[in-house]
Parts: sequence; structure tokens; C-alpha cells
Amino acid sequence: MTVIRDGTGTNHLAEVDNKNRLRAYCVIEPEATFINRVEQETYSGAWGSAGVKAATAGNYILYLKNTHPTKDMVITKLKHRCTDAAGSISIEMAVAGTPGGSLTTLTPTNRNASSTNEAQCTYYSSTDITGLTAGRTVGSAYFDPALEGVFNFQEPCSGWILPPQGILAVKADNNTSTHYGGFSFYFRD
Amino acid sequence: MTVIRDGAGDGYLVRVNSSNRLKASATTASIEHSINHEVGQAYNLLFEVTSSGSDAVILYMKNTSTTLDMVIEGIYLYVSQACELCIRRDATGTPVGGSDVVPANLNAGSNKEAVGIFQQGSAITGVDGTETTMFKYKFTGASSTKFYNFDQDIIVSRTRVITIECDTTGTLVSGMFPFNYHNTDTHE
Repeated sequence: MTVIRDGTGTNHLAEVDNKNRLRAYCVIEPEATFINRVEQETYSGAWGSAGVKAATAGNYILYLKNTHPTKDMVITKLKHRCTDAAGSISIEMAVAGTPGGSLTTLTPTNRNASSTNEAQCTYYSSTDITGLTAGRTVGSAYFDPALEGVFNFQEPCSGWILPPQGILAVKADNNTSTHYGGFSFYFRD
Repeated sequence: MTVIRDGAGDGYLVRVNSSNRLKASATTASIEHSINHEVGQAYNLLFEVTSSGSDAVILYMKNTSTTLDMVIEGIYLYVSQACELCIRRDATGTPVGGSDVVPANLNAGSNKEAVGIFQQGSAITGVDGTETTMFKYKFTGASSTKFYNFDQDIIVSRTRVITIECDTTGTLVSGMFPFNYHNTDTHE
């Protein structure tokens, strides 16, 4: 049997509690913060200042694909609002197909000001992203500009996880609402 | 008696403080995220239904896992008009008149499916109305979708049931339950 002794010379012994857990004094750091600080792979993916309005109700207006060869993309937050008219969005994962149409390429911003890393992803907005096959709906939300009109998927939660080559897309239910927002995400093994 | 030495070649020795606690520097992830990423057992249950009648049961969910507890973090809700919603526990009986809803796994790389009975309906019958109310939400009119956190979460143990009841007929209720499965023995 072995007990753990302080290695700095005080002879303090580590304690195990009555639930058989080692007692520890921990300095903690959230995973997203650690990845931002050390691995520099945390990003903001805003949708653009002009907003996005679907050309036709039911169109995909946003496309995000994880193109990192090995790491999962962990989406921790979606901040969203809409103007002009009440409307709703659906968020789908496991979407398939190749995006087409008049696409605007979006570039996520690294959240570590000292980092030159760029997000390995494909990120588009459009009034009509074509060529996609529906995936499974993992989120939906209604917005009314006359009411709160702002929506946050945020921690504490499980996050949404896109493995390499995984795709997430956002669909708008009408062509009268203008949508604004952005994702927060990071990459991890 | 032993000390713990750094294995990366620097020779540092781990300290134990005067409260007998091992000093540690830890990177933390929420258990919800860990379950999603490492286990692939985190889900969103999406529902959208227009209630029929007063005090209609519009959602029924039962944890039928034999080994795992279901942990619900909160609820996203939209309503189309003034109403009151109650989230209740301990309903008994067999739900009638609902349609099945399949919770969406939140890890695009996981093929696991939620184990349980998940039904939505305009007025699900067959379950009793004497359950305990855990959360009640009163809306004075139509809302945008908003998240309501369950302080301390809701734990749906094996075989237990959660229902949602709407007091006002003709209310469109759209929402999501984010939940995960948790094994209390392995803490996964």
C-alpha cells in the first residue's frame, strides 16, 4: 500500500475521503479557455453585418463544415437575432451534399489576438444554399423582433459536436426575416 | 510512502498542502460536454404541438434505460399566446393519442439513440393528473424562444416519467429539452 507524500519537504500526506476520492486543491480552467490560451484554436464565426434573408421560405441560409483532418469541432454557443419580421430557424447536423448557389464565404475570427491560426472549416451564408440533403434537426427557435428577439444556445450544455467532415446547416422558415448571429466553437481531439 | 514525480523530465515533485490536499492544475469540461464528446449520449428532444382543451398533456417522456439516469438541463420554450405550462413528474398510466418523437443526438459522429418513450400530442390521455409539479411557467402573451434553466437539473431515474401540461387550448408550444444519460456508478 502506498500513500502520497508532499514532495516539497513538509511531509503532508494526501487524503482520501470516505467516498474514496483523493482530495485535491485544484486550479481549474475551462476547456474552451485552455484551448484558446494554449492551443489557440477557439473562434467566433459571425454571420456578417448585413444579415441573411432567405430568398424563399425553407431555404438553407448558413453552412458550416469541419474540414480539420483529425479534430472535432465543438460548437458551444449560437447567438442569434432577427429583424424585419417574426420568424424561426432550424439547425441541422449530419447534413450531406455539396453547397451551391450564390455563396458568401465567411471567415471565423481567432479569439486569441496573438494567434495566426485559422479555423479549418468551410463556412458560407447565402439567401439560398442549394445541393444539401437534410440532416437531423438538433435545434429550432422562434424570434419576434417586437419581443426579446435574441436567442442564445449556450453553456452549460453539451455543445454540438461536428467530427471531421461533419456539416451543420441552418434553415429559415420564411423569406421576410433578416437573421444575424454567430457561432462560438473550438477544435479538440 | 511515495511522492509523485513529473514524468516529463523536469523532476518536479507534487505538493500536498497542509489540508492534506494534492495540489492540481486541471482543465475542466462540463459533464454534459464530456458525455456528448466521450460517450455520445447527449440529445435534444424537439417538440412542437398545439394544445387541445384545458390542462392538456402535450409531452410525455419516460426513461426506459435499465442502467442510466436521464439528466435534463433546462428547456427552450416558445408559446403563441398567453398560457401556463407545468412540468410534472411521476405520471402513471399508458399514454394514448401521442405521436413518437425521436431525440436528436448532438454528436454528429455518434449513432446512439435515446432510450425511452418520447411522445408529443395535442392532448395525450391515459396518464393521471395527480403528479407533482416541478416547474411552472406563466406567459402573458406570445414569446420568442428562450432558455429556462433547471437549477440543479431534473433527474429522471430509470422507469420514471416527465410530462408537460398546457392550461390553454389552441396554444402552439415549441420547445426543446436538452438532456443526457448519466451512469451514477461510473459517473459517465
